[in-house]
Amino acid sequence: MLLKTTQGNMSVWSNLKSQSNLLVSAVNDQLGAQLQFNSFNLGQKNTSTSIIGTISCKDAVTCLAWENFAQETYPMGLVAAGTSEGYVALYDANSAINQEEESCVSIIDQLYEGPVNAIEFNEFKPNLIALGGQDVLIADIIKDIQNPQVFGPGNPNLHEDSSITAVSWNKKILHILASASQNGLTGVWDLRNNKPIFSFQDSSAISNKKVSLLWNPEIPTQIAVAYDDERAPELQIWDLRNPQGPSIVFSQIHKSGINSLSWCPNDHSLLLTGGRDGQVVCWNYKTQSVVSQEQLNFEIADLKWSKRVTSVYSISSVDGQTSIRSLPCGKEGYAPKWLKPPVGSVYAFDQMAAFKENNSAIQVYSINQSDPDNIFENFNAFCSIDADQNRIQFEIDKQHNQQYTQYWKLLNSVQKEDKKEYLATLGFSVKEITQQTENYTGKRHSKKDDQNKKKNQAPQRPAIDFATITDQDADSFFNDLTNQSINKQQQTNSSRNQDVEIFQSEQVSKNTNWNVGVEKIIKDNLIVGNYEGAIDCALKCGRSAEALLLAYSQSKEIFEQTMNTFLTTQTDYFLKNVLKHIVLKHPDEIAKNYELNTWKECAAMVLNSDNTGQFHKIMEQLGDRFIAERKDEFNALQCYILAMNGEKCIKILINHNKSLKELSEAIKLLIVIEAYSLQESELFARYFDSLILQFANYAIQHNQYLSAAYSLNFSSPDCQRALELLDLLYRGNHKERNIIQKIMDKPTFPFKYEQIKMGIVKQLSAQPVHAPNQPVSRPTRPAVNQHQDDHNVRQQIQQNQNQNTNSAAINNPFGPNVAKTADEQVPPPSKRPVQKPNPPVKPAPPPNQTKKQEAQNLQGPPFPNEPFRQEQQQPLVQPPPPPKHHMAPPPPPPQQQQFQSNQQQQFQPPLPQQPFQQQQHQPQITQQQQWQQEQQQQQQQQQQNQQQLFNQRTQQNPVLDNKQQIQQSKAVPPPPAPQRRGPPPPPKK
Amino acid sequence: MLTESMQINSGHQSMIHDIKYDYYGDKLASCGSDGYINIYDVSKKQQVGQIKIRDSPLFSLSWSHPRFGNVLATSSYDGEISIFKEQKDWMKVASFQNEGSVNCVQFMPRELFLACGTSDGFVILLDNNKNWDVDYKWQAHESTIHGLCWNYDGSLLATCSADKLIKIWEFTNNNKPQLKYTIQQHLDVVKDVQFHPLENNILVSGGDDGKLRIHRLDDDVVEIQLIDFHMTIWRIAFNMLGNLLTINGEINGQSQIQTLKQEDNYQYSQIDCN
Repeated sequence: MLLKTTQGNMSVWSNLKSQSNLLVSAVNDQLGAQLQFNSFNLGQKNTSTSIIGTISCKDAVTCLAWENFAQETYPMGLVAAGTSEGYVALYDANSAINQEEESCVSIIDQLYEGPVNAIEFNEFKPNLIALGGQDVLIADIIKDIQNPQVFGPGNPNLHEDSSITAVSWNKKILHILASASQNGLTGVWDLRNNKPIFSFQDSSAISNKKVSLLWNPEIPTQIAVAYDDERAPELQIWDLRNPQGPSIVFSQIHKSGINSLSWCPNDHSLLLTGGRDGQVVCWNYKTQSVVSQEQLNFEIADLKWSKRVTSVYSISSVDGQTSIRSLPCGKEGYAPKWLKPPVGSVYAFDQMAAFKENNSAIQVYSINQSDPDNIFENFNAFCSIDADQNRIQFEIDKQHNQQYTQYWKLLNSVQKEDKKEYLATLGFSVKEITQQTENYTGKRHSKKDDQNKKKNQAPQRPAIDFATITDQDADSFFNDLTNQSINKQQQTNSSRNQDVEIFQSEQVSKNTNWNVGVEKIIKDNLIVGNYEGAIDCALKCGRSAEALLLAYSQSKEIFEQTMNTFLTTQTDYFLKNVLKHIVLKHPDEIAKNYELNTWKECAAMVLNSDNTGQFHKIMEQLGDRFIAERKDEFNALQCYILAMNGEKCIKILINHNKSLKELSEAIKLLIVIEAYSLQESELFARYFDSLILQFANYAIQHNQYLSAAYSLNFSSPDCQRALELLDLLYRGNHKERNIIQKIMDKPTFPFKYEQIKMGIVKQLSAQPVHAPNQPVSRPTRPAVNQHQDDHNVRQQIQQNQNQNTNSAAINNPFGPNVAKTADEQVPPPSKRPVQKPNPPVKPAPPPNQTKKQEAQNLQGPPFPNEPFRQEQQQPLVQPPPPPKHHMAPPPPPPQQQQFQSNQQQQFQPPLPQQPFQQQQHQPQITQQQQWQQEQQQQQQQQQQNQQQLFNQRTQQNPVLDNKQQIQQSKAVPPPPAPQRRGPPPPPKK
Repeated sequence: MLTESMQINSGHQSMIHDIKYDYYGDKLASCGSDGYINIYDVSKKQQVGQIKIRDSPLFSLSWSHPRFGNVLATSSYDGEISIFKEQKDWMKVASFQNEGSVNCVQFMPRELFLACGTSDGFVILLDNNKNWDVDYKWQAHESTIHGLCWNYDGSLLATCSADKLIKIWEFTNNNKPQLKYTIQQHLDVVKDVQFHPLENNILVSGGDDGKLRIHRLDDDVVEIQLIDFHMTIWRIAFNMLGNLLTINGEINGQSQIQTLKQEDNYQYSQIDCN
């Protein structure tokens, strides 16, 4: 396919990665020559290249090469031009492109009397330039580019007097060079030993014709040779391991001499030849077939594959036109290597499948589960317990982290709704305190008596229930008493002072004579019936009890007033802020003022005050105070747990996602908190879903699918992403699928079923695709981040449904026409305990529902013309049987497969390298100092083997410095034609 | 971390070019130079289906979302894009003939909306809702498109090409795709591009320059990691949630598979797998 055109009768491509779309062409005319730097953009429609630099030469250019060299000095490499006058000019491509005055770096002259016919840089060591003219020369520009060292490849000259038409460096072994001369002889040189090591000559003795020659870039023992010979325009591939004749011969295609040859650098199976007959032929030497063949209307002088642009090559005509073309791509037949992925892999759950070239088996790998700190194992154990109280107990037993243990204990008390549990969790042992009290007062105060008390609430005087004491206890009681009184007098006093502070803080009048002082005033007031005066006096003098008793005997109003006066005039903190509110039954006031450090006392007291209805509110307030005043989330969370406020809990726990461990603990807590939470909260659901998704993602990443499924089971029914994951885990092919399917109910398929439509088999895409301004409708969604997934999907489904109103029954998964699909695939409605019916996905209607009802269910308000619509759409839903050519061809008959395999057998790469290498056990000649050192740096092991081949060749055919030996090597007679075109004979020895 | 568990005899006569699991991982489909698609039951370890298109090599496969049933799309060197549905047997539902090779196909996630990349640099969009007519076709690149990938929610399509560029096309409602980003970090042919399966703005790419590049798409494209594998990277595969990443490459004719795992901030590090 023609891409671009320019001038020139030969060209060379850039080898720069960054500048691969650059081609230098040589335009020769009577006045001399010009080198043009062509740049092109395949995306642009115009067919001309843009000339971004030129170089003028005073003599005709006869050969061209371009290679990267000394990147710092010549960032775009050197262009070497051989001329008709026998010298080579080296140009700096960069300065030519920048239009600098002098781009010529060096002139290597006095090489030949005639033209330079061939030139090639060594790819490994671009300082070595092979030249072909009257004979083969190598110029080394490493030391002094202006005065390069020029030397021959060794003696004797295999080509004798015939002039050289091609030189080629071996593409794997850097010191091997091949050359071809007009007499049809091809010679191979070992430059490390400076010796010719091999030569062959085609039997069809030609003379004075161009021979093109290239090493195989893949198999370093193979050379392609093409002859500009009208009688036998052949392309031959020789293998040095089989020197009797060419291994492969391509003929019969070119009608006239082949005068150019290029080996595809991007697919080593492909060779391109151009002939005087104007044909360009792409050959696959491995399959020995023609990949493409193109007849041009001019005689071809030169062609070259682009080094870096795949499928692109340049062709120059003898009359000076150069074009850039691409290999026709997509026609039946050989697909070039650059389009064929040789290797690939794909994942599904805990497995990965991979294929590699040359291996017809697909290897499946399994990916291990991982469970850092047994987090998932514990999580699974937790989730597999059915009742919440057992889960709590499980955590209390297993939990190692004190912080979480505390949460679980609180949850335990919440779950048991038992004050004793609460108090114990808060750090107060009812038993202990009661014991202490009993010890102090000698009376029973146990709460268990509450019920008895109620029964016994009679006019009669309640009996005092003396606490029993065992003899032993009594003994120790006395001992303690003695010890305390002797040794710990102070301490006891102080602690007693603390405990009973309220009773001692007032100034109690000790006066027992009611006829003097305040007592007399009180008495007088009582006598005259002025009770209020008496109360006030009593209060003032510290006889609070008397004041309260008096007030109690009067109206409720007076009592409350007195009590208020008493409580508010107190200076004692505890009395004023705590006791007051207990008495006044304002527990929320306690929470406002209670010292946060001892919030548990507060909690306990509030719990015991009768207004339990307020307990949760007060705990919430306490938690709020921890957050507001101290940012103390640990204590706040404890308060919120007692408050049974899921929303406040999750506001704290939402941040517990820094590590997998933290996340799993948070989820476990929230699972139970959700169960006991007093409020339904949207925020809770949203946050919890987000945490669950995070955890499930972690779990899936560790291949812990059961844990993921367990956690997802607790997500809210409108979290679409969770539904999708759950569906994936339930139905997906992984190691834990069986367990999940055993323990969980089948989830509803969380997507809307849709029917695929029949299309038309399109022919070549010449039809217009779209008017530019016409809006295109397609199912698209705005970009959203992950947390909005569910919302997003809902929106999408909404969208789909909207679309569906236009095409009513088509996409209706339960419509009459697609009932088959629906029957096949709609699973029974979900029985998942936490699942409420999923809004986006409509459950399958009961079988007895009419079709119209079904439609209504799915489409919302019924359309008046609904039935009509359905009918109208029917043809679309059940398309007429498609024409035959729509159908997939029937399964291939076995013969066809057989044919395939036969064909494939031909594909088998020929030329086994193995046999030859087996010979390599003889000691090597080692005069290889310099070359070998360089060699070791560059070569890989594989290449070393091949190098040995050449060593061996050197050794086997030592071409000595006498004529006799030359004759011998020349005299290797080509065997008769049929023999050499057959398969390679086994190697000698 | 990865251990060899079993081998499936592919049944292909020559090179395999693509393999894909279906949504639930029960079936594995492969396609190759022999023009066959083979479908295997992974648990039963046996082939359960086969589709023959033509003799031309098949380069790429894509399974649809299961809400449409079992639907497979493939594309071939001779330019045919075909869509098959499994009924009793696999039936061709639609096909489209392009002039040149079609190298990659992928369904938009959850939709029957197929993006295809061609050797002449075009992207072709085929739409089920239009009875598989061409929804849109445009020249996305100068030369061969080797890979394309939808992001998680189908709002972005990334394409990569032999012109060394990666382009990201944005799809908004009722508008033709708009070029949103162009990435020109690669020095050579870009062979594959993949979005992170969970993160809409994380993109990885690799190609002939041997370099795996991880990009973050924000206001601009930021390259957040570069690993040089010194081989031609052909294909990149994420696992289900993107914590594993496998690089499939080739060096000196040898296929190489290397697996990386995700660390913090979408940085990946190499692990030993086999």
